Amino acid sequence: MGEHVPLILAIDTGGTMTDTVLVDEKGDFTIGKAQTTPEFEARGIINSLKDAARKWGLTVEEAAKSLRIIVYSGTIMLNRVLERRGVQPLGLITTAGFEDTLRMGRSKQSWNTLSYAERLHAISHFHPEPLIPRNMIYGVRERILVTGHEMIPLYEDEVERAARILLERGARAIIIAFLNSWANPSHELKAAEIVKRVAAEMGKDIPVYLSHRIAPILGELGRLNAVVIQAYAAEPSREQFRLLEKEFRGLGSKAPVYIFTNYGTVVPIEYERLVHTIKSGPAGGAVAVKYLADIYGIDYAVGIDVGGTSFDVTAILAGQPLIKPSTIVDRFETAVPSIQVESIGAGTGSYVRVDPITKAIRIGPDSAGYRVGVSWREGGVDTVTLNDVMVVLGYINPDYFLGGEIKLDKDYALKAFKEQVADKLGMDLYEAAWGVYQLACDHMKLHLESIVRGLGFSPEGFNLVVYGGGGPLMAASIVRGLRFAGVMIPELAPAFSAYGASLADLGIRAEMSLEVYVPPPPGIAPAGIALDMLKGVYEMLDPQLKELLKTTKRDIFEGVRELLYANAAGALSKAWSRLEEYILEEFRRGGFSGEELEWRAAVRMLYAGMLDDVEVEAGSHKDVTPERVVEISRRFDELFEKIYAASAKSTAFGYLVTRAILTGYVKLPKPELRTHEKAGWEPPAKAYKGERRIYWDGEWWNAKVYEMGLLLSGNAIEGPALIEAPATTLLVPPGYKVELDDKRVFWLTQES
Amino acid sequence: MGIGYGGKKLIEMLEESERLYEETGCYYGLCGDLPLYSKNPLKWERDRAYLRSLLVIARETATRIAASPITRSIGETCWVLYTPEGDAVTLSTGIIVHVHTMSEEIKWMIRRGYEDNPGIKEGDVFTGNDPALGNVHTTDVHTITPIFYEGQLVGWVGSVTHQVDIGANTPGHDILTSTSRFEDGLYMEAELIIRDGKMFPHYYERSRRGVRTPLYYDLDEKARIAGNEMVLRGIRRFIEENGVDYYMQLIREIIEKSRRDFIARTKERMVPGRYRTVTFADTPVIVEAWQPHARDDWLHPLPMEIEITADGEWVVDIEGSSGTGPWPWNGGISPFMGGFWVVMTQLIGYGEVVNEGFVKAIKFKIPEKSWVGDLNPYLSRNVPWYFLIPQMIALYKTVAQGAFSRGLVEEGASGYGMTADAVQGGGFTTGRTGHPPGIYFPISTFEIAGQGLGANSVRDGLDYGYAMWNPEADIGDVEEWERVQMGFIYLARRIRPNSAGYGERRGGSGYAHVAIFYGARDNVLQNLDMGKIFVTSGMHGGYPNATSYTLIARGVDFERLKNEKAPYPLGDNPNEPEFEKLLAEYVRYFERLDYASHYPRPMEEFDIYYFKQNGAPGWGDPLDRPLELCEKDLNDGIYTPDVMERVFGVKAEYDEKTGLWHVDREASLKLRRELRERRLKESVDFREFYLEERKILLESRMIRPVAKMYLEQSQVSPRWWREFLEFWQLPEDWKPRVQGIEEYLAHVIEKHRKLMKEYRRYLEAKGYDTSKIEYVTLGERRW
Repeated sequence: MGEHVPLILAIDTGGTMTDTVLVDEKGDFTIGKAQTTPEFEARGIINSLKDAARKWGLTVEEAAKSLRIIVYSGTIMLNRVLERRGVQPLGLITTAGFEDTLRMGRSKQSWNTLSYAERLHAISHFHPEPLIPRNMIYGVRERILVTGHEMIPLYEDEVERAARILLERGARAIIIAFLNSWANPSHELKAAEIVKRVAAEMGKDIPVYLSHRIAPILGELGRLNAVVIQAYAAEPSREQFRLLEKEFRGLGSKAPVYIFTNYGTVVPIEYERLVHTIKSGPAGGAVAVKYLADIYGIDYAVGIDVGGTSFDVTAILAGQPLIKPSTIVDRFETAVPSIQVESIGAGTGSYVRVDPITKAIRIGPDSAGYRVGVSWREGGVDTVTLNDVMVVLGYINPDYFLGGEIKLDKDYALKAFKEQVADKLGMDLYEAAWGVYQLACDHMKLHLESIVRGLGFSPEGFNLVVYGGGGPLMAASIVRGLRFAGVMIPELAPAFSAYGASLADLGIRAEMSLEVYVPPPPGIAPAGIALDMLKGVYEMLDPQLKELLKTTKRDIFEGVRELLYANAAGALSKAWSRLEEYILEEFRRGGFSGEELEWRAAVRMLYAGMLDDVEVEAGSHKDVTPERVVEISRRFDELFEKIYAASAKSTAFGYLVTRAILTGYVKLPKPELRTHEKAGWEPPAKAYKGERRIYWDGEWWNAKVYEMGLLLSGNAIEGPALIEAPATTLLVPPGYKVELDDKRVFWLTQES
Repeated sequence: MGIGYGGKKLIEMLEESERLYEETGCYYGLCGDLPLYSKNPLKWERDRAYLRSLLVIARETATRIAASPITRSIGETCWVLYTPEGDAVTLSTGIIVHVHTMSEEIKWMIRRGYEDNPGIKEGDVFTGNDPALGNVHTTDVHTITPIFYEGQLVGWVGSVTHQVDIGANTPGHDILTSTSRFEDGLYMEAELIIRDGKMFPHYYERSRRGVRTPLYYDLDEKARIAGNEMVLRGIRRFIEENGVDYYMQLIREIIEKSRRDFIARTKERMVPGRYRTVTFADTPVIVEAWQPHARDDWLHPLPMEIEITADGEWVVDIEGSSGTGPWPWNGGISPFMGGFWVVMTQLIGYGEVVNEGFVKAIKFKIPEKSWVGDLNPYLSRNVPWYFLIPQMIALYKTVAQGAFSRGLVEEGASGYGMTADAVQGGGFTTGRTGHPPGIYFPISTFEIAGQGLGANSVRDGLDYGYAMWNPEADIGDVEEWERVQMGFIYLARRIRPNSAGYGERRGGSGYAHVAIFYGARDNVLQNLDMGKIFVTSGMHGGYPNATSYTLIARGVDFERLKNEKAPYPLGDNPNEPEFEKLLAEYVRYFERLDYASHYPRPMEEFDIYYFKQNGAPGWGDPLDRPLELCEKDLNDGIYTPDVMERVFGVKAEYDEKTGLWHVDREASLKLRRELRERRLKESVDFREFYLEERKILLESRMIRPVAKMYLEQSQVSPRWWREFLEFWQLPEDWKPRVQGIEEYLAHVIEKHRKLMKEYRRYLEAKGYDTSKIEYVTLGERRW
């Protein structure tokens, strides 16, 4: 057809299928699918691209030629961990006395991915088998403290012995991870030298990974897991990415291959911490929510993704997606940042069962996933699912599932649901189906509300963005009674996550732990721990300086305070320049000069004595003055008040800066979200498909059915109505209304 | 005219509810069909879920206000909704221990006549923490708010948060040193604290001045009050939509339904019959205690007999249990219920709505003079956990036996490790660590959250990952702990070999720490741990987990040691002790004591302290343990080769090249045959055993704490005592002779002296140079 000039290719490689999204400059996109080829990923990717390109009438070479960016995301790296097929054996040299840290997993790793009921049911807890067995772990004596102070020197002969033994045992790489190396890496660096020397003597050339390079973050388990997974699962991917880029070059593409990170940016193949890309799945949705929020000028938004197996909630606060400092990979607690997504095991494919003992309804947490439910006879599912319930209630069109690619058997769904659920409860079939649907929606609503409230906000302050294939089917019921500022359902909902990957900027987020005390701002009298700190620091001062303070300052503490602001400014400045240096080094390796970079600096901080740190935007990372430190603390006060409670503000204790964060990024070309001309409220006749009976709140209704793609911007539809698209159905219940705006986003409202 | 629903007085409502239950056996007389439930079970279920969601969301929101580390980080909080009579309807996530505690407290308020004086009005807020009235231990502080609708009291909402300090005679949350109420710190007896929107100043001042951490106390209280208010508003909304009669009927049906569900679950999982378990605890403080009246040793029996009837009811009988005394472990009904339900929720109730209905499905038989039944207000109730934790092992064992008999082999376990060592104390920085000098640092590690869990017929126990009071165990990062415990630095935290109870399925393993005081002065440390005895026992031939002890290296010349780059100890295997091997040249003396709980001690910089978290008991005969699992145990460092050989009958060889152990199959099978033969040879006929044991009793050949225990049982539990006399065919007036305290003290000191002498000899035989090793003796007590 020639009307589409592909700009971005976003790839999503799953365990079984590889999806590709091809996006042109106008924001139009097409989706391709092919089987994943784990032994040589590029083949499956090219096949998938072929499929996508075909839909635009292009050959794979034609599609490749105009591409400016190729974005890869996928689960292959994660699968290497899940299936224990990474690089092994790996050798680990760690602080003596802490050889079992990986295995013990802070106890948490035995339950951290279980449902609430199973968390209580302790006999079902098991630790994951560690990625490095005990015989490949050697402790060497040394100790660095949290302040960076060397308490015990490195016993170098022990390092030498450990290296020799691990290399003799066939280690393919050696990892060095010492306690508090983030605060003082000298022992790790020294040990690396020794290991390299020993390897050379033994005629071996193997990589050495240092924990402070991969995750200069406080908390030994997270740091250790990060460096181990980097060596075990991430490094093998690097080679695959290089091959992929070569394949595309062969097709005539000049576009670089970038990898999508867990926190919604992309990075070059050469990026040292590729482990940052191991769980990027949920980031796509969050990036798309942020993109939408930016376009609409919304600062606070919550995204809900109703998929086949899970219900995910993500938030944008003050224009930025919420990022958590650690990620669970398999069950390993890993010091790798990622978009904060709170999930529960409830989706459209979740199984619905009646407990044989108590007759209580159990929804999930397991799911039929892509096999839909009993109504898809070919799927081989025996237990009814939420999809079946929505077929029973008339919400899902059995002849138009995935655009009719899959035929659903409504009669069979009715029969199975009656036998498996309604009869067991002694209820009418439709009453039971309605009850189950509502229970599922309530479950999601509770999850959503507790997260929003847990962030310290009420729903009124947020716009809600609904996506995922199941989102439009359940949105009305989930938001009932929650009073969000607005409920947005983009037409793109089913492909929102995949689309999101094409919207990312090139960016590296680097973080390092700090322990920097900042006294209360001027004018606030120090109390409790702040007084102790000021006294303690005064004691440490040089006698001449003490004398000077006594003579020049009205209040010696005021002098110490100023010293501490200056100290904090110095420490932050030093930390940010180290992070900047790191990011520049990484970008340069990816072929950038570094001049095109934009920067975003932040810190994590808390009130001294408290436990939860909060991320605070810090403006520029250059020219850090004592005044700016005070300003950042003030910004923290404001944020704290919003998230927690004004009454818990403890300014008089002073602050602890626990982490410096710097993101360097390059804006990449992005598709536009096209603005459509607005038509009238009345939908065009060709969009109208007829009527269907739906069951809602104890009654049967005749719902008008529309084809989503044929509706025009400006159209408004009152419930009961169903708006069908191949990959989803938007349910507008009685008493609700939707309006399609000029960006093709439906706004759902309830008539009061 | 009363303030309650329907214009009744609360006491009338409470008595009516009890009478109805008594007469019908169903909650509030709701036998047969539950009208609202039968009409629409799914609306009913949604409504129940809505009520619960109010509590969950209140907890999520309110804990944001709270600041105390345990509340914020470990989630030691809970919100509960009660009926006007004080029966729990549903509760939030969090410390589920409290399903029944505030219930007791509300009922106490009703019976005590609070309706008339001080009156109960809309907007009132009450607070309490007395375990004798309704709590688990004094550090859990409650806030209770009545819920009024159109002038009538329709229920209560209660919340609880765990405090790090409650102002007891030594700092800490679970201390060893309190011997009476007068050393426990702050007490509130369901105290009215807010009326007409104002907090009483006398309460405000007394509570904030009465604890060492007033900021945490203040913020946590604000969190509880705010959370209660949120729940209260949600309930009113619900009543406005559904009507007050619907609400009252619903909450009663919810309780009755839970009662039935619990019985149905019991019938699904258990076999009717009588299940008996006994565990012990001890208080060996004769050498340690400051208070003259506390200087003695006690042994505490903690038996539990559970009868499961054909109707699926549980009858729980604790005849034979310890009495009360000058220790912090005295309890009450409420702590007992707390411990009972936190474990029961993990075993039977994890997928259900736990509430008063669960409580109603069980009959409790509590001797009046036992540690549970004796409500004397002057006893110390700082740590009833010390008895609860061992006693509730009975539930795990009962379910393991019952479910096993039903073929549900995955359920239950042989028990769990006691959550100790709870090391508590603090010190001041010197500046050496890089921190400013003079900063106080607390030592209050919550790594007790990760003990071993017991085994069952199909699985080894969970290693280092279980606390009976919180199944979501998290032992934290060492780097995080050291941020707070600035002068108490870890030299090791790793698996403690041989701590797992032996068995065909072994118990979960414990772990151990070596810590050094560094850059720290004026340090004090106390430890609440097991005493001298085995708290647990295995099942079906499985062994208990290892018991505990104290090990401290005093006056270590650490500067010289590290300058010489000499190795320092990373653990303690008493068969091959690293402390003695590596520190002999650098240490002034060792404290190796045969008990682990100790009173606060001053500690100097460079003193090295060993402490440990427990393993759990095993299941089945260790000689039946599959050899491939034995090999894995060796390779994972769970057991040492000598224990593998002696206990499991396993011969293995270490391959230096691969660093792996390989079991010699043939040799092991042969060794196992020999060990079985030896067992047969050494075993005696039951008759012989019985007569010998009886003779010991008749001649009172037992040490003071054992004799005192029997004497106490004869007084506390006459029924148990009769059965005991009958079983051993003892004369009706038989009483043990109790050794005098001076004689016993001499025995304790002498025993320890001998033990150390023998240990020294043992080490010398192993080639240790003991000439420079000095052990402190109990007689000299240098602390």
